[in-house]
Amino acid sequence: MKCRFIDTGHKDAYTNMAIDESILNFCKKPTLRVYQWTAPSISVGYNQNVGKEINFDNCKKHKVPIVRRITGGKAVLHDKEVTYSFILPENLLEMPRDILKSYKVIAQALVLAFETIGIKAIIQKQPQKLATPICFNSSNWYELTVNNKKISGSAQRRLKGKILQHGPLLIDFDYEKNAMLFPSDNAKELAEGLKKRITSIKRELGIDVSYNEMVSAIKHGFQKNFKFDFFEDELTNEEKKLADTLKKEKYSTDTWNLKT
Amino acid sequence: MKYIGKIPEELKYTKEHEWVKIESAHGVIGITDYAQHALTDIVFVELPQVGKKAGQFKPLCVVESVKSVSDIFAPVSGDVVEVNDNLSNNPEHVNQDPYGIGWIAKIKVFDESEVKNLMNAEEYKKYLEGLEH
Repeated sequence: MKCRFIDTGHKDAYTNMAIDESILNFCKKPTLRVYQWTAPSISVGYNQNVGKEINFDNCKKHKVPIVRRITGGKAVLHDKEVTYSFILPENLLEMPRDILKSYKVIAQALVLAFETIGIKAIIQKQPQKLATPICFNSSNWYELTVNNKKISGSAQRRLKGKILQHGPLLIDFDYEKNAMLFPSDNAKELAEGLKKRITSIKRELGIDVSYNEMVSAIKHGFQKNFKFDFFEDELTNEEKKLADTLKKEKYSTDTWNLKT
Repeated sequence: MKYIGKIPEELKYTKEHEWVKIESAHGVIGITDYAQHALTDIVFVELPQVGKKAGQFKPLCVVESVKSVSDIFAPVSGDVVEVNDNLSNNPEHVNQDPYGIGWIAKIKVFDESEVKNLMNAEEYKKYLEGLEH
């Protein structure tokens, strides 16, 4: 099975989300995309209330853009990470229509990616029930943990028989910065709580892993798990055009990002 | 083993797993038992606005489960005349009773002949059994 591999490098938050939606819109074959964020940015779930679940004043003060995703789930501060997005028709590879099973099969690819860089990640089989607006503060079905701390979480959108799943793999995690950007009575306590529940590659291995190393690990994980024959590709002209429109008319607007 | 769920005889079905019950030129719309099970726990239903014009098989509204966001498509064209406001506070009704208190919207049907593009219960059951996985 052939799979497109697209590395779009650093992009701003609005462009990143616009590209994912555009690929989903035109998807006829599987695409694995990897990317980073030009500046620390928060993405919120499709249905999250930004006013209640984000420290909006601190985001403004520190010029942290907020972008709403078309996928579900909770808020994420995208900072020192590599983000993957995997877009495919759901009937491919006998990919289960069952949402949890599709998470599981993608989680297996991510486990192999972490294994490549020397980390043994575990697939979380049961969700931890913790009411929190922060994605990484709780682990859901088929998300990845190391020593009971979350290291990667994902969110999904289904559209007319097509799947978009995306999520970050944490290279490093700034607990204090995260605690400051989300509502709390005591940011220090929140940061301490996050330390107990979230880890990163740097924390586990004690070294900085480069973007390129992460990208090749992700590619390797998907290749091994799905038996893909990857070919390097770029966005098509129609994908670029739609992404430009989506960025302008949707992802960079308060109407979309701050909707309640 | 694959979950098929309940498939009431009197309803019509889409390939995207919506159902519609047509009565006196109006259609009540929801998602099937199979769909609610596949979606997992539903946490949010973004209801369509009353007055919205829905096209057959065009996006009608959005549901979010704990793990995914999915579009719901209109089984037939029409004007939305009523929505199930209870779902705003009780989205889990869609899981609990997808053909009853979990209904989503009621539309005034433009063209009843569009029903021929839908599946009956037996056809939908065969369709589900024929799906991969």
